[in-house]
Amino acid sequence: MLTHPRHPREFLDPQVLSKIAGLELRARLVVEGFFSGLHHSPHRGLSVEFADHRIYTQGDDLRHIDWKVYGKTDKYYIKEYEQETNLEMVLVVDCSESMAYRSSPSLLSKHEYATCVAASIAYLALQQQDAVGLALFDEHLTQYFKPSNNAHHWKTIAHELSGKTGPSKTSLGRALHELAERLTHRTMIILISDLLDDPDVILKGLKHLRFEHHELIVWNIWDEAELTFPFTGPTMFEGLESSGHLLTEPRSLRERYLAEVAQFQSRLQKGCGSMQVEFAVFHTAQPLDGALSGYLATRNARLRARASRAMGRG
Amino acid sequence: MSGLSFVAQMPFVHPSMAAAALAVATLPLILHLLYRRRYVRVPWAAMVFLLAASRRSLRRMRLEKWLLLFTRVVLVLAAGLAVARPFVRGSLLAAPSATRTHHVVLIDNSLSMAAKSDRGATRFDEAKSYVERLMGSFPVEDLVSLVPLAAPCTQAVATTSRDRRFAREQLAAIPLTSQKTDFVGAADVAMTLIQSKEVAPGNTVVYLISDLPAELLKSQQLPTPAVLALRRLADALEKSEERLTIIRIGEASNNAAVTGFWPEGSLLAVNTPVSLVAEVANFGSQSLRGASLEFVRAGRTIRREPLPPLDPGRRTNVPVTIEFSTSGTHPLEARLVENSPDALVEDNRRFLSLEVPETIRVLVVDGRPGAGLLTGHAGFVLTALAPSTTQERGSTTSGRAPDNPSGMINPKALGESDFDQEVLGDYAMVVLCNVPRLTAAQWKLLERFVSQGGGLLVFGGDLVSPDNYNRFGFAEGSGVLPGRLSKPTQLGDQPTRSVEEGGVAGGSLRIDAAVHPIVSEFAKVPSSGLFAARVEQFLPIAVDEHRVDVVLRYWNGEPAWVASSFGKGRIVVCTTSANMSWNNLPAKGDFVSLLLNTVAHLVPRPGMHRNVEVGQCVVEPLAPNQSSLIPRLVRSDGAQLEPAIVAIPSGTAVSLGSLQTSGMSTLSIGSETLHVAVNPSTEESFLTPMDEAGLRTAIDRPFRFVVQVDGAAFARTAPRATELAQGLFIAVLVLLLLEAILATAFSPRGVQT
Repeated sequence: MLTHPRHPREFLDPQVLSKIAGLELRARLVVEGFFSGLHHSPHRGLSVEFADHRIYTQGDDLRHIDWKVYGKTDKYYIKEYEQETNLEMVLVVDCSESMAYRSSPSLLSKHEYATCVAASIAYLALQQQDAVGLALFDEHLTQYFKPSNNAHHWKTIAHELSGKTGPSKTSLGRALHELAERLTHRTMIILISDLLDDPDVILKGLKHLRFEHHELIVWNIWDEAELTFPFTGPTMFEGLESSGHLLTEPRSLRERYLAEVAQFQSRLQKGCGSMQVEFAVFHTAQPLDGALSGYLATRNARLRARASRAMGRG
Repeated sequence: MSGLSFVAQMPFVHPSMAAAALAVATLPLILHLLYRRRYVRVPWAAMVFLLAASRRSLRRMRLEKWLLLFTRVVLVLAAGLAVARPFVRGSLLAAPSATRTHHVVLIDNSLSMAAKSDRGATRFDEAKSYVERLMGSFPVEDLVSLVPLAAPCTQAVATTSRDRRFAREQLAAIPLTSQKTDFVGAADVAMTLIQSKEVAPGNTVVYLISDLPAELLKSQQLPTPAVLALRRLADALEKSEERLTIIRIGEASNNAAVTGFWPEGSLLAVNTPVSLVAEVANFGSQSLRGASLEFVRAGRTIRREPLPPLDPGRRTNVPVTIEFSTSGTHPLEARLVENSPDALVEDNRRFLSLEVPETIRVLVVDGRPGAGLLTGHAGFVLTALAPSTTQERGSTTSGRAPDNPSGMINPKALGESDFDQEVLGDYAMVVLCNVPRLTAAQWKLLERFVSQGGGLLVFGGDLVSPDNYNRFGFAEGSGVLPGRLSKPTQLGDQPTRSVEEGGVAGGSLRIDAAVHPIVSEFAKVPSSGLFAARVEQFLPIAVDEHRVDVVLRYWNGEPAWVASSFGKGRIVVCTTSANMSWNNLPAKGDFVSLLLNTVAHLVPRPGMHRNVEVGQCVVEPLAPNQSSLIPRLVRSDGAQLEPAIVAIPSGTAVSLGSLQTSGMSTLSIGSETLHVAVNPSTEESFLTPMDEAGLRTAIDRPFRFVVQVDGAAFARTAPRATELAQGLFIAVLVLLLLEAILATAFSPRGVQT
């Protein structure tokens, strides 16, 4: 039974989130918890450009009535703005079988963690008028939704993210190539996956996207046990995605295994660094604010860069 | 030879433990396999890293696993084998404790070891001194077992210790006894110690320290029990010369001894001269001259008889006649007094406890009582047993004969119908004269009477019912009678017989070559009236001559007088009549002698169970009125004891236990005083030791022979086997250390979370 946390920030804890059913609620709680620790900004949005007036109809927000026109014409007119999309992003979420792994029932699976992060980012982005798209993949791209800043779009994203993982293997390279062909203009892509694929293939896919001038953030999701390997006693490891099985004494393999993992992460990090792709590692016991902070930091940096480019043109 | 076959052929002190060790050594392997079978299943996503790690670590992991497993198997195996105590022949380069030797010292403390040498020390003192020095030559880690040889030599008298001080105390505590040497028991004890597995097999050495009496060890045709025991002991030591050492103590010495003292004849009674005989033997190498024999009664010398010169190895009997005025047990002693040196004075005295009854009571049952002297069937028997009584009385056939203090035998005659009224226990002997039949109960009474030590004399006659005698008396061999009777048979005319054939012309009786005490005196006089007697009729008796003595035969070979024993008592059956109806034997003068000899053979010698050898037990039956009294025993060495009361089939008895000291002990039960004579075994008087050649011929096994010489050096016997247990225990420790190091080195680091 869920006990109410004492502070909204506690909803950032995966152990607390694992007890909450429903991705939408999870994402909202995460975002609220994330923002409860920040100062409120006096600005409600960024630049809004006037487009036209129209006659007031019932149901329109009174805040949008143009009182100057009312003073001149004694009629109610509503100011309409041409809102500029701040950012366009695509959340790319891994739905392969390996993402279903969880080491403890009290923790989120890698897939749950990834979808929770993705939904939270989407919710946050839509709140900020950013356009959010969604791509799901396993062996190939299975679902793709174009970026949109429609408030109702979040419901669609949350619904699609609520799906289960399939029995398919991870084939990230192919999925990234397919995604690159779908995207028509520059987009910020957030890849959320365990990346259990050939690093060369992964880097090749990322390179393809970078070649198309997309901005890339790679969040490598691990289960905590995959990073600590805490097993003792004879254990039969049965590989997900039909990757075979191994009966071994895990303590004798632990050191070597962790070295292999570290080597993998290091290679990806170097590859990503060389392509100016942000790369971050998360594990399922880690609070979700890290991902959100990373997202905001990247978004702000992106906007500042765009603003400076605009000033340069002016 | 490969290492494995070397181990397979390696002997173990505990072979069963070695087999168990092999079985236990598989335990780590089994545990390893079981451990691998009990695993948990874990679904795993990052399999690619795990497989890569496994591929890279496989060789190292296998090496570590098998190295650790091998170490553990070897560790368990080494520990098990160490407990099983393997050994190898030879000494190798082993620590002294691995070649530990068990020295089993058999030291003779029998009576013969009391013989003194010219230096004045006893053989036992010299043996102890030798053992003391012998023990001093043993390495400190060796075991020493001391086993006294005096009978009875059992495991209980052996002491085993590694502590030399304790061993010396035990040696000092071994007493010189009056008992005989128990080579057989000592060999059994030594063999038990050899098999005790205190040390590796082959590392046990036996020392036999004795005066080695030639009498016990010299084999004539068959080896003596002592020789057989020493052969068994040598065989148990694998016939190794190094492992059996026989040390002879003492040399041939002069010794004369009183080797026997007994009453001659069984007919003892008060106021009747009693013939006693003492036997003196010269065991020395010089003639015994000028010696005399003193007879001591109740501490007073009553007679001193000079001895004739006695050559070495010869014996002589010294008779003496003594008359006792009172009944009861009388303590007597025959004491040798000599002028020449005697190495062993303890055997110069011999004790005799002699019980003298008031009279010898005989119950005579007559099947056809007569009216006057010599009438009836028992008349001649009664006259022969107590002539004065029958002459004075003029009648012999009924009523109780008056007491006759001067008569040794006091017979009582009665008819068959009065038999049931008599208590047989009051009599020493029962005579049945032509008794037709007895009931089954009466036969049972007779059986019990004879089995408890009474005598039974049966005469035939025309009234005797063979069927009744066979059915209840013989009872198919289980009864008191020695054979099956048949109907009366005519003996017929006898042919002329030569003296050489054991008979007299015209006589019906002859004796066999075997001389029975009843007729031994007649055998010396072929012209005796016994052999001239004529027998016309008799009751044939079928006997098993392997179990029964045929004292006299008829001319046709049929048994005439048959003697046998039943329980503690004896029986004689005369197949012809006791009167003149079937023969004329009663008319012969030798009839009286024959009858008295028969009575002497049949009448029990009371109190002889109180004459025993050292070490034997005495059980004195108690009369019903004595069962509530507390008996007291004063031993010959002055010690006073309260002997135990035990149950015996006929009631209760006093058990004096095993009497260990020679001499005259006194048992008091209420007002009654009984004497118990305890004498040493005559075997111990033979002081001539066995020579080496004779001993080697007799034992016929290799051994080392040492004649005890003061200050003789003791060469240590080389150990035959080396125990590997100590080395294995060290290996176990090293393996334990190695296992700990390997387990630590191979174990993965702690899990960091």
